[in-house]
Amino acid sequence: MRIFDCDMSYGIGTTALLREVATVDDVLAEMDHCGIDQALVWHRDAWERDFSAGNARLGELAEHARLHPTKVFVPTCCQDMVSADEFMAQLRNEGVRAVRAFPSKNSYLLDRVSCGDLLEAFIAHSIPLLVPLAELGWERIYALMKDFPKLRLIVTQIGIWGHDRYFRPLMKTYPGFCVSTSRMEIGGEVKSVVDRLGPEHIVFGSGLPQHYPGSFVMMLARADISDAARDAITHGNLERMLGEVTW
Amino acid sequence: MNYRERLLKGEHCPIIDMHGHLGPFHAFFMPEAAPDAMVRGMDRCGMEHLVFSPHSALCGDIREGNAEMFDVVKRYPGRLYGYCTINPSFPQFIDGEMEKYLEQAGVVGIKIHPAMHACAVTDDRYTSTWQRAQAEKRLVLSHTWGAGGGCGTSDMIKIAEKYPDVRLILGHSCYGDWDHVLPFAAEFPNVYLDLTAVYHFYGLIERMCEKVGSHKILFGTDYPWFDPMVTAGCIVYAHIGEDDMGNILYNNGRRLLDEQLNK
Repeated sequence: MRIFDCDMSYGIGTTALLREVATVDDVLAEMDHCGIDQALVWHRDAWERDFSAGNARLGELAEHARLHPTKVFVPTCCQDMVSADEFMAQLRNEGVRAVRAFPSKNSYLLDRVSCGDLLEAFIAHSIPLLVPLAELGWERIYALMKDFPKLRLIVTQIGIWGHDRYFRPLMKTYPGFCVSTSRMEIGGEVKSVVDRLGPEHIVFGSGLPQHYPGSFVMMLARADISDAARDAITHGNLERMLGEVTW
Repeated sequence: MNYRERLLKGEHCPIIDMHGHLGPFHAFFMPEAAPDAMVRGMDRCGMEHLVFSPHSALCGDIREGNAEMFDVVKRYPGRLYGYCTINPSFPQFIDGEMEKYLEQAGVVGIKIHPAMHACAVTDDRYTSTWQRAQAEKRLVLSHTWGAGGGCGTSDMIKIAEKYPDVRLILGHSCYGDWDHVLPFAAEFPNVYLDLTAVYHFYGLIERMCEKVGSHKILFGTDYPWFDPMVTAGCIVYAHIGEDDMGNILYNNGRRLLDEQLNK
């Protein structure tokens, strides 16, 4: 399987993890261990310290073609964030083709009032936005997609407690809505979603260093789905989305 | 071929799951919840045995739930094994249910869920269950969570001290209380860690092997809640030895099951 992981992070944070992924080399070592080819990567500073501190660390990825940076944004209302136009220029100049948001952690609402300028720009350039479920919640995700139906949204870290009744209506309604595999792990869940809605709305995401990336490698290797569906989930969907980014 | 390669290729790699359930559950949709679907899922994953307690026993009338458990055990002899569920909210049923099922073929232990049933493991209503399990060296799977609160590490230590012959499985390994539960499991020979719902914590399996030993770690998934291949993936991609993987995937469950089946 060729695997493109949409959700890997690294760095030392506030509290010690059971197994740290402190450096870029640690990320690469775990990718090699699990047979993961490429990854969208962010630095833990962006979540625990400050979004700009995390973004500033992404230059560390520059010499590794397998690692693709994702920048974190906040609303443009304060002096700590550049304008939407300037942010898009940064993305283009730095080769960044996906962005992340942590609205709960960073204390804002990811909606038209707070982030309309940025969200419209992401849609205009087909830039995928990745948000962990805990940072937004399903009610706000529903409102966001209703207001921005062309948004390409990947909800990561959906947790284990069976969210199908939340995410399947979104998959059915919005072509650009996806969830990552972390932690979409109800017994037979992937097959069930693929059977009903196709594989287009699932992308591989491990959540390293919170979770074992190999768990989702094995889940997909042994899922009772077609090879075409498996390829779409493990790499095809994400490669397609990133390939559709326009400047 | 190592465990990882065998599992990736779908080669024979037997697994014993010591923590399963059965049937639909109110909170969410589970595609493989029905007995036949579960067994097909077990076939898909190369799972040799699953030991389960149905949701109907945990969330409803335990008499109906235990009857469903035994019916399914009889439908899949030697493949599915059952726990007799005890609910202390209805103490009048406890001794009767144990008497009815614990000597039956295919029933290998007792399941308790102190959180769901709002009753601490040390409560008097559990006493007859612990006493019987102690006298007969029974397998008991208890839901455990955190440091205290009725089924946390501090509560389970009291049970292990008082009933040392119970084969005590800490369901979910006292989720999150790693600094205390690992020394506890290491100290008591009949206390076992269960990977259900905790397998995903990156680095935890390595920590368990280091601090407790792989001979005390059981494969568990809450199946049909969680896909067994996710748990298996955590194990075979963990940074542990092949012997450790074999112990967790199969050997430890085999040893515990054989002890109960050969009574």
